[in-house]
Amino acid sequence: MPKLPIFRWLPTPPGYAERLARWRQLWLIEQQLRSDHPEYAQPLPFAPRHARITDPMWTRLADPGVADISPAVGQIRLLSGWTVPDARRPVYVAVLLHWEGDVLLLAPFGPFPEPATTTELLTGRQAASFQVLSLWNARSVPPGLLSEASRYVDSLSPQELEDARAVFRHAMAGEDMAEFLWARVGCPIVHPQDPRIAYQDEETRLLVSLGEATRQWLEEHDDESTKDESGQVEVAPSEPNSGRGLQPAVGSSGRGIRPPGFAPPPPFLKKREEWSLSLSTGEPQSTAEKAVYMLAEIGVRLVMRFETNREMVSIKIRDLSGNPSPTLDGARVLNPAGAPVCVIAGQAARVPWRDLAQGLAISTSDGRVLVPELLV
Amino acid sequence: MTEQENLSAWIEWREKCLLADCSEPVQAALNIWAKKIAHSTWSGTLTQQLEWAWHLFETSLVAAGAARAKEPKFKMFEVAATNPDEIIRLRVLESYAGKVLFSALRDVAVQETWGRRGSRGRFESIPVVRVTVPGVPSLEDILPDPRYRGLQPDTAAEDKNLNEIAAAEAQAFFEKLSNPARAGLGAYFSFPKKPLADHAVHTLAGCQTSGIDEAKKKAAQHFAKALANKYASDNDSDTVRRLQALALRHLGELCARLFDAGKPPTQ
Repeated sequence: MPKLPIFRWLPTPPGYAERLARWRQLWLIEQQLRSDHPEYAQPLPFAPRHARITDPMWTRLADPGVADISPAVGQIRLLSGWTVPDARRPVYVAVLLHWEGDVLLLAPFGPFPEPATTTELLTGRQAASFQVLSLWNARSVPPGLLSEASRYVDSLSPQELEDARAVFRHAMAGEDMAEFLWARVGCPIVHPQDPRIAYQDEETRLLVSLGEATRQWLEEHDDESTKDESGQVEVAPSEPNSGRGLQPAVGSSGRGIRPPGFAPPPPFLKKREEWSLSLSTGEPQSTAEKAVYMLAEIGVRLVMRFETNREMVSIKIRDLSGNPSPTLDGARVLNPAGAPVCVIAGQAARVPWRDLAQGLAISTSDGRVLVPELLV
Repeated sequence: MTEQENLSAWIEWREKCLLADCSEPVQAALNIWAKKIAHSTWSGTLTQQLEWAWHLFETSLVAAGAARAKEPKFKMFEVAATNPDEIIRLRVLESYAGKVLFSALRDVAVQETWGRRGSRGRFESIPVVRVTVPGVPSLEDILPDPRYRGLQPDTAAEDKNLNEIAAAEAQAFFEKLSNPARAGLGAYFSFPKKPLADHAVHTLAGCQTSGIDEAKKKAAQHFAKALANKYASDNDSDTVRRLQALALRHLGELCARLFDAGKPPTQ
């Protein structure tokens, strides 16, 4: 029989089956607890925003006795409950990066002591709350909001921060990871009814209210960075509690008013003129060439990159685990005039940058119009 | 204990930091609270007296090893404090603390099954335990193929070799194809795709659309099967599938070129 070439495969991380088995068992027990104890299924109590404590004794009981530390990259912070009102646990976040548009990129710690997918990292910490970091669920928030709505708890070591960032890059753009990191993440989702899909949906919804809190905070503070040169303010569309495509104009082009029901353009377009200039002068170019949007209702991300010719934007469609996803094949990217600017095929698309400069929406092949949420 | 006394117990614990430093009635009250929750969920093999339940709660609430480990404890009291009524404050404290304890019990239950956590925070090696729940895919269903990480990089030589084999197989099969099959495959693999009702497609095929579609499908299936028969027994199944995909694409491109060349149909 004729022989074909022999291809070599990357080694499977040790214990990946056991890890998934443990995660599954944790999730099953969690569902059982919620079913058997309805009180447990309810969200954690939280103090409303701007709530005041009037009783002096209780003021003392609630006082940690030390002043908070301003938010900074590398910190672990405990979010105030009003930013995540549906959480059943105290939500801690790790601050990973200072991002374009003066926001901080942060990722939540997960509810279980086992990583669910290749985009969740076992940190090696003993404290139950810090054992797994969910890099796939990273969000960007202004430092001012984080200062108001969280408290400092601890700091990541330089190695912890570097590891988290590597898994984040894997989550967002499919970049490979070092072998030792593969041994500390979960394995990918391949089955359409894998319970990890429901888990990710739930965790995604948990942080949607953080996005809403960000929008409100920016409106309240009338942030200068949302105004363009003409002084027009970027108005984020409002839609009651949908959490879809309602990220404020964080790092947006800030040009004019964006129609309601459309996501802001990729932040890197703002810098296009700067790049053109730097190409002619030979100066180093901005590295902020990527934007990530999410469509939570269908569990996909759109990863956009500015191509080196600075004329086209490539769009790749990924599932929440970072794998290419055909979910949007046949869908169209719409500009705010409602005109299609490209068709998604083969889990990807390319579009001239001008067609995204005012914002975008997605028209699916079954006729729905979805507004992606700009994450970073 | 009355509700007011229970609330006072929580307050004393907050002020004394550790339960062991609190008065005996307070220790008793909070232990009872913790044991009640543990008893409602626990079916494991640790001590049935559940004396460890409060300790589990205390250690789970604080962020062990963190610079400000007790921050979550203060947060719990802050949440309670924003309520005006003392009894509601008690309810809030017990609800908040209860959820923390439930989660900790869940994790301990799995630890008991799988073995103790090692010093690096990872579970140490263990046997696989199958848990079956109706309606939930089994572990075997959701486990990915062990090769999910993909091919090692630097397979250029193997890729080239496989591509050459695929091209050769496609060429050989092309020469035996009927005109309807060529037309159908050519229409599919043209860029942009041609509809089967296209005039050029009909001219090449020499038959109606339904015949073209049928011929296309049969040709593709027959080709894939022929490759499987030839290569499957001595080669990795994944590689055979890649060969099939590559060869079908080569075949399609050969057929599509017929439209570009404008050649009359030949048999």
